[in-house]
Amino acid sequence: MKKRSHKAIKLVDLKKHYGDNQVLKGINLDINYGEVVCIIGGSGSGKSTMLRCMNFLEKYDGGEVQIDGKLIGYGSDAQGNFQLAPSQIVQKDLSEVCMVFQQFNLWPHMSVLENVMSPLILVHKFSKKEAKERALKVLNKVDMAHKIDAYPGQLSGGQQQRVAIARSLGTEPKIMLFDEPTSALDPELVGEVLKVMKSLAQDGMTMVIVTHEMGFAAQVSDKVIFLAKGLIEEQGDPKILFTQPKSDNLKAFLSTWTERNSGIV
Amino acid sequence: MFDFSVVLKYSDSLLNGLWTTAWISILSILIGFVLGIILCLGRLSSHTFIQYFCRTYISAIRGAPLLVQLAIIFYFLPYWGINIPPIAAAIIALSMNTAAFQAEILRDGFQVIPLGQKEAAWNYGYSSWQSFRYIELPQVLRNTLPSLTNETIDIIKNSALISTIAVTDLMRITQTYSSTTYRPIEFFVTAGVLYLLLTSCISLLGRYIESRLTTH
Repeated sequence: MKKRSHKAIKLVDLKKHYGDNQVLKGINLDINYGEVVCIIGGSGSGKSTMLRCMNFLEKYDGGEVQIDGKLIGYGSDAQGNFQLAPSQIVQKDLSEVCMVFQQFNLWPHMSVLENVMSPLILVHKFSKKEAKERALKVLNKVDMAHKIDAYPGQLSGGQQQRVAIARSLGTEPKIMLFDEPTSALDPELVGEVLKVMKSLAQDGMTMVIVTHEMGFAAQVSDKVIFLAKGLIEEQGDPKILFTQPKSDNLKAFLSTWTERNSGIV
Repeated sequence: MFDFSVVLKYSDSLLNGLWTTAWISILSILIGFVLGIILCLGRLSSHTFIQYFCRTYISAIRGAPLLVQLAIIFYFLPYWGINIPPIAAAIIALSMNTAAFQAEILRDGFQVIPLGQKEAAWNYGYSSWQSFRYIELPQVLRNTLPSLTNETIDIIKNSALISTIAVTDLMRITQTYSSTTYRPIEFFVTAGVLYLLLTSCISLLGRYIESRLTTH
């Protein structure tokens, strides 16, 4: 693999507020290429906001987001003033970052195949034939090649999410962000999506995953980040973090989670 | 008592009138659609002045009778030294009117598209034009087609008002012959049937396109 001199993602004192509500209070985080990082935390802890800042779907208002060493979203104008960068530049800097959304966000008027081909043709200037080849390849990887002519509305949530992952894979991203990718799914459909994500992790994809699937986080991630009230409260190896939590917040968070699941067996 | 043979005698003129009504209405709908998209985008724009301008225009048009708008265009343009034939005045007034209504229909169509779909497009590097053209517009057209068909039918019916500014549309012809022949009932019933025929065609066409688009 090509040696990279920069961190895949670097957050420096990242801050974000909505009105009086300070959602992120100064996050510092380094993510290396090839790493799988899971972000956990209660609702309102700022985990989705943090993820959305990484590909500038949210404009942060303090600190820095760096992708492969490049500052995202802001730049200096001719007078040296720090200001918002034009959309095209931000998009270009983020061309190797893809997000998979909780609500899939497939385009409902396009078939599965068209969904995957569209970014390739419109943005990456593939010919129709090349785009179709690539699309079939990635749809095969997520085991959806048998549904290429279906429309998103005809698919189950799990199938839609796999198509959404394929759509991202088509553009050959180096970094993939997952925003609660299984939270909108019926329980029996979660497994098929996690399976695809696991195989990506094994292929060495750099992944940042906001998730409530603790079992998955424990198995797949190199590092788990626990966010509470807009700050990283604890982070580290999942084996240690899940078994020997230090902070009270994390202990409380993990015990609610075990309680919820213990009733079953 | 009723004698429709007198109508048959003037069938050529009536069909000419129907043709005038049809092409003026449909041309106005098409011009109004383009203006409507522009107005709608202006209405959704974050630019305060543009937004208020479009909002005011839409309220003004929707809040005043078409008959008044027609009269204003027809009488005021010559007053400013712009001389245009009645047909042009009719097309301008109908287009300006339907643009406001279509803008509101389209605005609803744009607003129901989940933000996430546009975020996904942005994330993949789509320009705002590509996102508009390939993600939003096709869905908006599909979702608003029934309302746009209704608006077309409304404009065809409302176009009867252009007879007041001397356009020889179906209504004007009907009025002329019903008074010269003293057979108003026969002529107005015929006109009603012809309008119904035209609007039914539009309605069928709309449903046909809809069925073609909703293959899923």
